[in-house]
Amino acid sequence: METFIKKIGRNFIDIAVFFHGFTIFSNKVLKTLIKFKLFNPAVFLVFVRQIYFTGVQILPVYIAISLIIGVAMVGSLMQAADLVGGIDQLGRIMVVISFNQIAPLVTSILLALRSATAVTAEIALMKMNREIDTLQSLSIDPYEYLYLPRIAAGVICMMALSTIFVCVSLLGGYFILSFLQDMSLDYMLTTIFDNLELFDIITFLIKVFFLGFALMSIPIYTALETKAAVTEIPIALLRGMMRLFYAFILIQVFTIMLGMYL
Amino acid sequence: MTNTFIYYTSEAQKERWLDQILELTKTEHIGIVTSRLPIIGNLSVFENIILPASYHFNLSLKEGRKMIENDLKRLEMPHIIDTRPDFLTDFEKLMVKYLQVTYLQPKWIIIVSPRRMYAAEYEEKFKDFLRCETRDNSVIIDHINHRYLFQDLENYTELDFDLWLEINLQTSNSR
Repeated sequence: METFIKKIGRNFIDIAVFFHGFTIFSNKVLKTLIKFKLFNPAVFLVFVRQIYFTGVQILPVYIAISLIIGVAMVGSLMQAADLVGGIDQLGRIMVVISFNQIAPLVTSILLALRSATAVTAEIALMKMNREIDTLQSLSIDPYEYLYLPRIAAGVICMMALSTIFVCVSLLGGYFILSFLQDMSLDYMLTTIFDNLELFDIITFLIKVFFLGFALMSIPIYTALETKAAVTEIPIALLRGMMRLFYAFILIQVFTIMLGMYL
Repeated sequence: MTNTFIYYTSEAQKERWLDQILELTKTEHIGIVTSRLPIIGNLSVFENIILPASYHFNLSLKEGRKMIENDLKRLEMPHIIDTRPDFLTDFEKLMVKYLQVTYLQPKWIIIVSPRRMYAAEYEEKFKDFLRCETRDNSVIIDHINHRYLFQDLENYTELDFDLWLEINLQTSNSR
């Protein structure tokens, strides 16, 4: 029993230490953003490259996945709506499910698998090889050159890809609806836009901002905790991915509560 | 290249000096060439060298490329410009690191334990480099046992680290 209580206490302390450190890290990143150093040629190059690695290279696979999920989602929603006699509410259901839930969730999972792992390994390796010290010795702030462009690229790619997901999945949904319900594209778009409220857009933006920020900042912060040993890198990867997973759940719960109470 | 040499007698002393110099980089542009501060592994030679100039002085890639091509030609290694550090020899890494810090336009270039950075077969090449490079703001910090290796160089001057620091970086060192 004593061991169990100690273990809970240890975990609680670890979580508190993480939140404390991560808050300081995030604060520094946001302060760096305000300095507008993102437009420095060296920093901007890193930013553009990160956009390419995170948001462009993934596009073919991403579009295919969005299309498949779109077709499956609309097909299932239509069946469910038909069962409960709410086919006229299909537009609203599609907005709520696709725009507010599925798009940010699928994007964040795919980007976590592809980019967050790469960033964790990259930063941990740089820390281990003292390359971050090299940057500091050249009077280059790692927050400006290393962390900010990656985090900013994470937020922008999350927004852009989630929007692409909504468009592609709705297009996939249209194929199903036009085939089964003989629905025109014009009618479907009108139904969706009629059901799209300003609040949905705000919730979507808040959600993708936090997901995008967490997507890169948590792996970077975790990678910076590693010590100078190669064996620390897989541990950092595992720890970073677990923390990211918990963060995604927290953000999801937070935005659902936001939707319920506002 | 240099006529100032500083010798340390123990690793602890060298590490202490290096820490002092690193502390000074927070307020001054000082180029440090040492195995403790390697070139960036995920950048090419060109990207490594241009990085400080691009960051501090907004040097464009096009203009920087021409300058770096000329510098690498001068050091007889123009072929490595787009190579990743993993594919460079120890000596090439040392030269890239040296060029990287020169693009910082530093007040001083400090080369710490150069022989730790390359294999013995490059000793003559390194001496040629020291003879050919014309730069009066550089200093080499090496182990006292390596003193004899520099004795055939011209204008050979030895200084105490604290004195050098005080004269050149206006720093009074009490440690």
